[in-house]
Amino acid sequence: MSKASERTAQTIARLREEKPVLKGLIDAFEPIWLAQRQEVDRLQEQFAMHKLDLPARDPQRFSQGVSLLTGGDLAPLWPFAKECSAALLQHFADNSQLLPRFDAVTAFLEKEQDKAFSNNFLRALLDMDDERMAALVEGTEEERASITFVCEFLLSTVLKAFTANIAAGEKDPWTLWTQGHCPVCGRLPAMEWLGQPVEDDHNPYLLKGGGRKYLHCGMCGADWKYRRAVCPACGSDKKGVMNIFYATSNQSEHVAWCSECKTYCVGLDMRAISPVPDLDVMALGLLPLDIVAADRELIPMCRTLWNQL
Amino acid sequence: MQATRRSFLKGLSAGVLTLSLMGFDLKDVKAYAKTLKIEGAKEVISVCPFCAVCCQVIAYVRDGKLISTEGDPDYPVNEGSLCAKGAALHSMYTHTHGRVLKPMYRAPYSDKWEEKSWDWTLDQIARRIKDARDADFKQKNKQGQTVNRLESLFWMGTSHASNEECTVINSAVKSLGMVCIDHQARV
Repeated sequence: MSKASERTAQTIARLREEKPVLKGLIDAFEPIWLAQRQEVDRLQEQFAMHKLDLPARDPQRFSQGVSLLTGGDLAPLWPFAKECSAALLQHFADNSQLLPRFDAVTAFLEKEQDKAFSNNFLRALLDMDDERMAALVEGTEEERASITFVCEFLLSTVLKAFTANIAAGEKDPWTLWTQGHCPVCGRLPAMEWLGQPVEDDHNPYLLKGGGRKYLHCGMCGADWKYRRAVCPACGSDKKGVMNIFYATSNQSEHVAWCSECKTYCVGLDMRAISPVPDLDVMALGLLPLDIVAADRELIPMCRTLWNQL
Repeated sequence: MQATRRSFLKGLSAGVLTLSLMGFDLKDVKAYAKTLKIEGAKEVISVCPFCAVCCQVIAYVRDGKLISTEGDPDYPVNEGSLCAKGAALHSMYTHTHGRVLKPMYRAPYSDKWEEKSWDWTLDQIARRIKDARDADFKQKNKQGQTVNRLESLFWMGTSHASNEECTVINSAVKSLGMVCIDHQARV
């Protein structure tokens, strides 16, 4: 079992212990999380072995806020996504609650698609462009919702493997990136986290205070630094624009929200959490805070399964 | 929260699956969320007032009141760190118990502190500076050269003074002839 898989399993166990109210959801999603993690590990090895990578980072495009996958051809990702479906779909089949229209999904995945369609379809998925998706995928709303959900999950598995390889190869690959959207896929963050204190590289007696904000992409798993006092969604840096709220019983989990655009992002303070959890699993653990945010009529920065109430 | 007809239609109209559409009953989670005691604050970037390094801090403000502070990790000078005084910044504004709030005076050879008014204290400071200057001011040195200096008084600057205040203070004490001047920018 890889370290990442161990972390996923540990996070699930911890979540089950700390939040018994979420037991039903954890039980339902556990097999899928674990299977996805294994697929990410497998793809990581495969990509590394065949030297497959995402488009190279162009410093000029990067400094202008253009993500790696912006404007590129996404069709080459589709065969990998379909490859993952062999291992992952079984878990959806095992629990009919997770996928209302399993038959429509399998029919869609079995159908041969040309490269132009694959590119358009994956672009619509990445951009969360529901209108474009409606034009591309035939069937009822329920069928389309099921297809979108599974294909997003499959694409996410592939992108997470690419991103993990980049992160494994470099200490801080997104250091030039200053935007609120993801440097890889261009989505807004699904989560944020505050970093732990770190020792100064040049002086062992100095300890940086920690609390640096990182944004986490729910689609490709990239984590990049962002300024604390600026809204990732609207870019406003007005004094006091960012607010937080948290449950007094657990201040390591919070919601950061912008008083300008009224969007929010759930977050974790890693200074109070050890060991570092699997963020995609922890996103479910923050569902109660998503409910509080929804009650306050805040809008999630990025749509996830957990914040569509 | 159970899947209602409204939430079902709302979810489908967006073409996305939701937990309610999947049939998960979120009633218990929603009830749990209602029991949480929620607190919040505004994050305001500010500057530590203690010394000339001017470390940046994130001040958490609720209803116009400071509730906590931490170092700003985005500021390149302190990168989230604060010294012991900076880390206690919050208490400087909120915990006045035990702090000296009025001038205290201990007379020569006395073992007791007495509380004095600001008027009395400022008068005393002015009186003693004037007396010391009158007694010790030197117009000329041993060689007969004009020096116009006062060597019996020493001025120590404080980190709480800004550049502009330091300039004014420097001019003021030099006008008295003081030559023993130093500044402690980090205490």
